[in-house]
Amino acid sequence: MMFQKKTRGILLSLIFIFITFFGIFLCLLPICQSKNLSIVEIFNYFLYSTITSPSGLAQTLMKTTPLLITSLGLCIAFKARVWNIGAEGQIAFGVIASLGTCLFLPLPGIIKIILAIVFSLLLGAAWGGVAGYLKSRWSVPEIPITLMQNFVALALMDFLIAGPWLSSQPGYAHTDPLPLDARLPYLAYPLNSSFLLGIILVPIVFWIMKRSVFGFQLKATGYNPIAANYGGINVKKIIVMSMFVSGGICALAGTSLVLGEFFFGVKGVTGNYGFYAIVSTLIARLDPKLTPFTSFFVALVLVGTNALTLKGIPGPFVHLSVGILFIGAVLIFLLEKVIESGGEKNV
Amino acid sequence: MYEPIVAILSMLPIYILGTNGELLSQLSGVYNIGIEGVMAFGAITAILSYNFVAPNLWISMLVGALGGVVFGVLNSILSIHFKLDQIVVGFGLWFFGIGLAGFIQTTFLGGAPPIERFSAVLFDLDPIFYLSIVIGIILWIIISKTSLGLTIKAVGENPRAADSLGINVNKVRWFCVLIGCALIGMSGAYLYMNYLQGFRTMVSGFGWMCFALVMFARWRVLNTFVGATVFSAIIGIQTRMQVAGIMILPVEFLSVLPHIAVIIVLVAACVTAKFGKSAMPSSLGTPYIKEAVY
Amino acid sequence: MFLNRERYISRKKEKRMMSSKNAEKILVIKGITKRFPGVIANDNINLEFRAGEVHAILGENGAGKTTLMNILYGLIQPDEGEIYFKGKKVVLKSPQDAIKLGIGMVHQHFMLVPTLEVWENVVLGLKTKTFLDKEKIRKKILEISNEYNLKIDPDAKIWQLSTGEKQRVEIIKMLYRGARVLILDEPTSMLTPQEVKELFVIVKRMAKRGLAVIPFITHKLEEVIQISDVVTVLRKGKVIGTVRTKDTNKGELAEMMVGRKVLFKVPRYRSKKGRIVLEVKNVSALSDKGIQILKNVSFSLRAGEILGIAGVAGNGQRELSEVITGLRKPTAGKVIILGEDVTGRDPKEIIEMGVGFIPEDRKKTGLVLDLSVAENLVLRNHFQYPFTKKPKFGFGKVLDYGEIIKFAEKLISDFQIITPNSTVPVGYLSGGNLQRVILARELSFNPKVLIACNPTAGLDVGATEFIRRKIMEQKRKGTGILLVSEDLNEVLSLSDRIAIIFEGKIMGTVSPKTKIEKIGQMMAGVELSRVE
Repeated sequence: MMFQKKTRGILLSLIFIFITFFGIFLCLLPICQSKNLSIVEIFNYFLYSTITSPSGLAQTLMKTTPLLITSLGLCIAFKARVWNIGAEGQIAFGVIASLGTCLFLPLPGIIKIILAIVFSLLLGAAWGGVAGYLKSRWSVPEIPITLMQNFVALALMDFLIAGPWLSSQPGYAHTDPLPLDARLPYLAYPLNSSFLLGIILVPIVFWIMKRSVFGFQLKATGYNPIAANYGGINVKKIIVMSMFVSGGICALAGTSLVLGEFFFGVKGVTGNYGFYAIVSTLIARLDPKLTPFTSFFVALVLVGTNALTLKGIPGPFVHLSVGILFIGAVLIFLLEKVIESGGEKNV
Repeated sequence: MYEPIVAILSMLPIYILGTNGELLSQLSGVYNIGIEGVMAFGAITAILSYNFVAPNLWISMLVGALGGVVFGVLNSILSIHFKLDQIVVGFGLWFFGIGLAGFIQTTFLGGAPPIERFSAVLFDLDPIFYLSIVIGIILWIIISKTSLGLTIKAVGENPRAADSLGINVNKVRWFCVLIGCALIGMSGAYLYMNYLQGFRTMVSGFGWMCFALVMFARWRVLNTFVGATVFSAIIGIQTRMQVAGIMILPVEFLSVLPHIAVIIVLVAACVTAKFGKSAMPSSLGTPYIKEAVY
Repeated sequence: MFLNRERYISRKKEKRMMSSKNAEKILVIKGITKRFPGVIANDNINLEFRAGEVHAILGENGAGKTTLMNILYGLIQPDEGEIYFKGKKVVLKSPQDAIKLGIGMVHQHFMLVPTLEVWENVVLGLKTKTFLDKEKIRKKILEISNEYNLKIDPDAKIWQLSTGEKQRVEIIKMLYRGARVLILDEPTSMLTPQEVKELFVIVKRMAKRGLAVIPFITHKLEEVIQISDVVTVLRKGKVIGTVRTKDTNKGELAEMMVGRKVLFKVPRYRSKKGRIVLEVKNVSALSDKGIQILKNVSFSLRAGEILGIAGVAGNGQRELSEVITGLRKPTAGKVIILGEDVTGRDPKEIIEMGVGFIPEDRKKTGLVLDLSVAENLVLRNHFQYPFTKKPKFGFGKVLDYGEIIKFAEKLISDFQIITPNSTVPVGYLSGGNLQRVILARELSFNPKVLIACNPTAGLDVGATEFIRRKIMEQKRKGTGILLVSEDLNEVLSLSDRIAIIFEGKIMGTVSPKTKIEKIGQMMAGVELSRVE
């Protein structure tokens, strides 16, 4: 029974990939026709910009990094059925912590990097913990709260970047670039070692969720908080802790963006990863082992559809593709439900 | 002369329509977590109608409502018929709606086309303002004074009891979700006309303000008027200040005032709810399954 | 004057009805058969229900009562057989068809909307004018209320009513729709003895007015004797016999129900009582709604004894067990376990002291249905040795699934839990097995105190016997057991002492040999000192 479930999960993920690809290219057809583009050429370019060329692959992997880290963070919260929509804001705090540490602390590079990571964890955890506390103490619904927190966190980040931390160099609002010693080294340009940060987190989060007592308590709380409470699990504490850990990990995505990709602060650096990671987590069925693959796929869609603008496909097609991803996720859940009930339709 | 009052009330229809739409749906027991997507889709269909069907604002509003209904159908199929987790369904519709709207706007409309606003009829307020109040009152009458309203409340509170008396629980829920989403769609259309001129950001936040107001209003229509006025005042004043160039706070913080307001409203609603009976419809979020009979 | 005229007319109607009472067979069923996979739930049932008669249907769980009831009410259709209403053949495709004819059902678990008022619940679902005419509805309700002696306030909110009052609302709901046949599903299961007496008066009144009343009862033989004119006993889907109540007695009925001579006594083991393991001192607490649900409750429990808490559901039993197990903080008083004051401590600490808990609602509060059988078996002590170990790397504690599964398999065999293996989600198991899982889990660490709430509710005979036996065994091992049960017979047969709870107060603590009338009085609110 357990074994079946695992293969079924992978099968569903594959079906998801197929469906969304199909959906995306289905939507591309009319656009191509109206602009006299060949769908085959578009398809090839899509693959070229994402995986068939080394630069494309590197790009995709770079985009995978923040997605993967955030996705892992979300797995933890979602497992306890705490819907952390505030990842974007937690990433923002990671950015704030990293920029603050690396731009302004007079310390050797490696120390700054370590401190950036530590402070990101702390700020992200604290920010997420607020929502966790509100939920556990007063049952305040976390979805709108964490969402609103995003706006506040992003506003703070924008304010700092355009205000006190504004660079003396001309141009759109941005901070000074990071000193060279505070930057993570490249593995093979443009692929940065921040990618490894994501990879390292996979077994860590896996261990937390599947092996530790905390992970078991997360699971029980998510499935049935009442029974979990009777079983001696401190459900209120679990809810807060889940947001702590989730917020902290998501903030690390911000760290990776600053220390490994952008090397400076600018509005929009958080890139909506906080939202895109939601679909990655859902498709991975909250299983940390699957998140690298689902994150990679989401990144693929993002990079590919973005690259297609060079071929004449309008920019916001990216948004539409993301929308298709989300609908695909819902369809996969639907499919799973239909399979589970033995093919009978619920009335 | 009416300037300050207009500033306060100009955004009211957005909240009255949006909040009551969500309220109606939730009263029967179904969440509309995708409310932002519904608003976006309602807005985009209204714009499409204005540009391609007829440059008539009233028709646009109607089409916006129909756009909302489309998403309502999606929500109903997934949440009521297939009984999927309403939160996951909500996520899907939310981002799909936004993505679709943003894409259509840029592709077929070449950016954010200016769309005229309703012109003021009375006290510098446009007809939709008065319409939304009328709709709100009608909704209140229906819910508290008719047998339909009784049925809806029963379905949301104890669907099994309603079922035992011959009420088709799922049919009632479909109805509430569709009408509710129509209102939300209209709200989105009006929002676009009067406030947002483009889908710049991923998420506008207005939908969630309405969601928060439903809780704040304890699922009672009359209370939504109060909350709507408060939020409308915040937004209205903030917009006027930005336009006039009054910057008492850095622009970034000014723009998050409404979002902070939502947080405050939600926390206040939940803290005070702990004292006294919970007003939340008991079956909210739980799909109705007829028990096996043996 | 107007009112008197109404009463005069209705009394005349009554007299007319009484004369034709014995003649009218209002509901007749012939050859009713219903099959489900693997079982014949109803086997060729022939019955006649007369206007003005109270015709009880008696049978154990699984005898086919519920199926028959659902057929009469239109919820399911029979595979074979016919239903005749007032002489005409009818097909009931839904409860709405039944109600249109005049067949009404009063459910065991009330179908009421707690936040709405009485009158709103009564007209719910009726095709009325668009706008609710509250005055007209209230008037009609009061008319019915007067005619049948169903005292109720039409404006009260349901959640404010007592169980007896709620039942009256259910009855009024059916009478409002013009029911002439009333099916009652286990009507007395949730009532105090006093409320049961009131119900009997109401039923007799309805019969006098020419209604046919059909109570479906599981094993309250005494009540069947008191309330009915005719009794039909079902066993294994067949009608064993239909007799006039005055021509039979409890022993005969029981024998028909079970098929063999039944002993009404249960063998009991007397044990030496040890030290006090649980003391509840002057505990008061508030319910979720903020009402005072426990008022100055005090009692003590010794090792090796079973203290039964008897009472009708909703008198504070659930909150009492929540206070003892740490899930609810009392507003006053102390809970002392094994000599230590544990008032207000977390459930985790209380579990660690060796307190076992079998909750009322096994699916909602006792188990996590999505987790495996094994995981549920260690739910309470998963954080303790030997289920955790120091991980090879990392910090903190990690679960040792090897040990967990080993432990689970032993319990599965000891407690005869029927499951393919220990890794399936526990939600796949049947009711009786779910309870065995909970029991196994709670007894596995040999608790010093065990709180058991309705441990055998809804279970078949086999599972019930097994659970009661295990509870007795545990008593022999020296555990102090608090048996909180709404099944008075269970409390009487297992307990060494009984404390009766009413509206959050302990009315008295007595021996199980006490006369049942006295216990009934206490359950209805009379304190021990004032019982006659």
